[in-house]
Parts: sequence; C-alpha cells; structure tokens
Amino acid sequence: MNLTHQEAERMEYLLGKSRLSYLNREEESELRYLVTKENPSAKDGSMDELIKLGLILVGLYFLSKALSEK
Amino acid sequence: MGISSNKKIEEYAKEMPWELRRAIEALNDDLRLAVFFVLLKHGELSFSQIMAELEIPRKDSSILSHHLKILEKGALIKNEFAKKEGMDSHSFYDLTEFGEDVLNGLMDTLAVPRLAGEPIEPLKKLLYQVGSTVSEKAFKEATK
Repeated sequence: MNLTHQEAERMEYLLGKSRLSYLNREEESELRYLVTKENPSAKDGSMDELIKLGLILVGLYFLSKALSEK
Repeated sequence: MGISSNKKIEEYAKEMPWELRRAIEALNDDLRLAVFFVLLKHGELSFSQIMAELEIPRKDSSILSHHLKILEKGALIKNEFAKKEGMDSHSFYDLTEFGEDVLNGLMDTLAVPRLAGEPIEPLKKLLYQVGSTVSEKAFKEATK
C-alpha cells in the first residue's frame, strides 16, 4: 500500500462524501492525488473512474485487513 | 448463444485441476460470494447468523441452504455441529483452509497495480460494494 494510514482514511472520507454529498474542486484534486498515488495508471481517468477505482481499493484494503486479522 | 462443447474444448477444460474448477464454479454467484466474505469477516457463524447478516428473509432459507451446499461441495466452507452456550443452533459454518488459500490467490490477482487490467468481475463488484459501505460509514461518522 502506497498510502499512509491517514491518507487512506482521508480517501475513505472523500469517497463517502462523493457518494452521499458532493466534492468541491479542491477535494476532487485531493482524491485524484490519493487514488493516483496508489494506482498511477489512474492519472488520466475521469472523476467517475477515479471514484470507482477508489471504492474498489477501499474494499480491497478492508477485506485484506479482515483476512490478515483472521 | 453458447458454443456446443466438443472433444477439444473438454480436453483443454480438463487441464484445470478439478478441485479448482469446482471452487471457481462455487464462487460464480453473488450470494455465494457474499456468504464467503461474511464468513471471512466474522469467522464461524450459524445458519441463522448468516441469514441475519445478509438480511435474507426467513422464507428464502431453503435458497441459502442450497447455496451453502454448493460452497461446501466446492470445499470452500465447512459445516460443523457443536453445542455452544447461549445459542439455539448447533450447526456452524466457517471457511476451510482451502477456501482461504483460494481467496488469497484471488486477492493476489487483484494486486493494486493490476486493477486496471482484467480483475475478476464478480469479485471486483463485491469489493466496490464493500468500499462503498466502508466509505459512506467513514463520511457519516466524520460529519456526526
């Protein structure tokens, strides 16, 4: 994982906000930075693609964590 | 429209070890994937606890039984009988060691740099759903 724990938590928050509210431009840039840091191939993706990829990443981290704690 | 099987197709298909083929077939369904991840997350659970966690109505209990049997046949989960204090149910389900190995293998194919490639669709969909739930919860908690 390339993100720090704080960055991962921030990404979760921003993704949650994108689903339940809306992101302003600064937040969109921040989310783009975080998703790209974890997956550089997402650099030129649309915001919808970034959100989708970000949610998959969060799901992957959550389940990987559950697996390692088992 | 599907292609009718022939000798050549059967020949190549048989190259996949039978145990893996059965396990992959067992996971090729949203409900079974969900059961698999519920057991991964919570560990050993009774039939009723799985029903409650997945919010499956009582009238559909036979459907869940059917899917649990397929997961068992795929050797991904096991069903054991035990007496536990404070619980009515004596029948419990948990992942098998093989089930955990299969999951680890699937997770490896989904390693982050390969996400933009060809991830396994049902698993990708489930990860997306899990990610959505986790993120929405994080946002709600931060804005309480």
